[in-house]
Amino acid sequence: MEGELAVAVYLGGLDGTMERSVAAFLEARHSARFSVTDQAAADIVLVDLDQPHAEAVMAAAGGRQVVLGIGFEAEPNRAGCRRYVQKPLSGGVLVNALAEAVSMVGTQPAVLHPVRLERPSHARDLFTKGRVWDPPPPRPAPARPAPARNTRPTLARPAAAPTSTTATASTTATTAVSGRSVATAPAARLDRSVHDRPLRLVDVATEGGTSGSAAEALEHRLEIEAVEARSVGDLRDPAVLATYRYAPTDHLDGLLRRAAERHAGARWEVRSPMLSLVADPADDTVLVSGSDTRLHACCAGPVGDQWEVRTLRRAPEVAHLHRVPLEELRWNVAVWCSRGRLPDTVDPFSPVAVAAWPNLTRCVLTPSAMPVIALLSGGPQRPADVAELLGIPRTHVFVVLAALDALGLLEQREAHAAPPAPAASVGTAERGVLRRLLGRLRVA
Amino acid sequence: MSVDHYKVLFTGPVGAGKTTAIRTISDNLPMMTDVAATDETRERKPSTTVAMDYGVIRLGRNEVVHLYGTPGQDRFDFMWEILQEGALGLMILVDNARPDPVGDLVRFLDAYEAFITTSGVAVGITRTDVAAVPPRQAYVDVLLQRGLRCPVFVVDARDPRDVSLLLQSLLYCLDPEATPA
Repeated sequence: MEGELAVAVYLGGLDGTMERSVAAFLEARHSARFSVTDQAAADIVLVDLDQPHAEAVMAAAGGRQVVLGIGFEAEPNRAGCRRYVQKPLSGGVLVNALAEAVSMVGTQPAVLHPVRLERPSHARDLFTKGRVWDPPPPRPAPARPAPARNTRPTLARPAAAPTSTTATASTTATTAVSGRSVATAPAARLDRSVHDRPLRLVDVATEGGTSGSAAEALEHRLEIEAVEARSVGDLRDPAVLATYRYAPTDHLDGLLRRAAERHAGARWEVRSPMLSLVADPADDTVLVSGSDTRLHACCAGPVGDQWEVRTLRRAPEVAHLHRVPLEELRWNVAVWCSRGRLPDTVDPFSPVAVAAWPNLTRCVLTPSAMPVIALLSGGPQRPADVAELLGIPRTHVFVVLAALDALGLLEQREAHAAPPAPAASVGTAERGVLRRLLGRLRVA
Repeated sequence: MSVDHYKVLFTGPVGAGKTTAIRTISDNLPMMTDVAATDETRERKPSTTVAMDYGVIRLGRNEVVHLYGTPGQDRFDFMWEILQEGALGLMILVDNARPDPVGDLVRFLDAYEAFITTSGVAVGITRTDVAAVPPRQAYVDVLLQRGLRCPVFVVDARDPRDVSLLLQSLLYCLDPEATPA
């Protein structure tokens, strides 16, 4: 039944990679709302205005179809395009734009004509009835017999309103005043689900890859990173502490840190038979030769002897590489290497503080990352105490500390040397509303 | 039945995406006081906000969080002081494609200095796809010079996830121990 309610979308005007990514995204996450179909059966046509065949796709669109254009340039009024979204396209932006386009399905663009009004008050009729007030036609006076004395005239019963003209808010999407007529068209309406699980569209489809594998890769990136929830044992016991430890020097996050520090300002490469990471000092980005899935796999264990670090004189061919900010890459790699463990360079009993917030909107999010960073940016705390203070698993704290340490954002400080915490005083009532608002925003 | 009202303020220079951000996370289509731009703003966008933007997030039947966006132009700065009264926190959005975006941040930090010391602030950098420089670190450095260790995120004001994360970070700055209900 869900498929019957889905709005048909045609992805004709996109390049191949984008088409596969969007199709996989819609199939994996929004199949109940949108189905990808051919152009003849589509309600919405998605067109990349920067593609050479965009004009042909738009020209072939039928009158009832809503053309949704995406492009780099701000051309909201491009002819033939009912809705326009500026790049870069993300999952949330795409779904919102499609939801707005759904409300236009079955309607025509409003054509406005000036209407002459006899009196200003007649304008009200334009909105309530969709037409200008017309004086009732003069009726010929009926020849009525003179009422009999002592009889009362009977009142006419009002006619029942026809049910077919009753339009519910959920089915009537647009009312367009076009001259003297009102065009109301029932159309499917989707509620904008801004508080759903946050989604991000990433270009992960590869040549020859199936939509299933692309969807899995998308799923991997879209979700909060899964970190084992564990808080057992006393950390003062070396045997217990050892279960929470890992050595970044033996892992990819440590290798990246060494390369970035030793070859600062140069074009360096960290490579293995599986993967190549080339730093571009011009804009602090890294060109990655493989997918995040492959990178994730490289973080699963110590790097071993297969990895090498070298400097490059020439820029690599970038055709098969994707560019990632260095900060984002180092954070993500540290999260995947740590998996809830504390770097052996961080003492769990020495107070630490956060020097600055990382760019969390572009990094892999871990459970409770924000409260940990917020707490430690307010003043130093012992890593061993943070989990108890916030009421979260120890591993959720350690994975954040590992990522912060990889970026050099973790400061070892004495507690008494800490600057005063922000003077935000939170009362009980205010904490309550913060908790409920965070709940609405679906905090990780 | 009484309803408790709370307020979050969105501010920043003209064209930074305040209207869009509020529209993105508001429960229903927000009220906007946009008019056709007639000044230099016209070169950046066809309309601009003259009084305030307003959106709402409802928390059950008894609580409402109001989202207010200030007009970006200096000549409306009398609105800034009015709107910040009683606000939970401040979201500053900065357009990275403007001529001096770091200077814009400094201007708004100065304007809201008293409020920031008693509340919280989060900074969103928009339009980095149009202008990659200045880098995010330039904003972080300005804030650290003022002793502010607040969230500074690159955001797309049209993306609910980005705006939501920025707002969540602001809430956690106000109370790191607040757990989602």
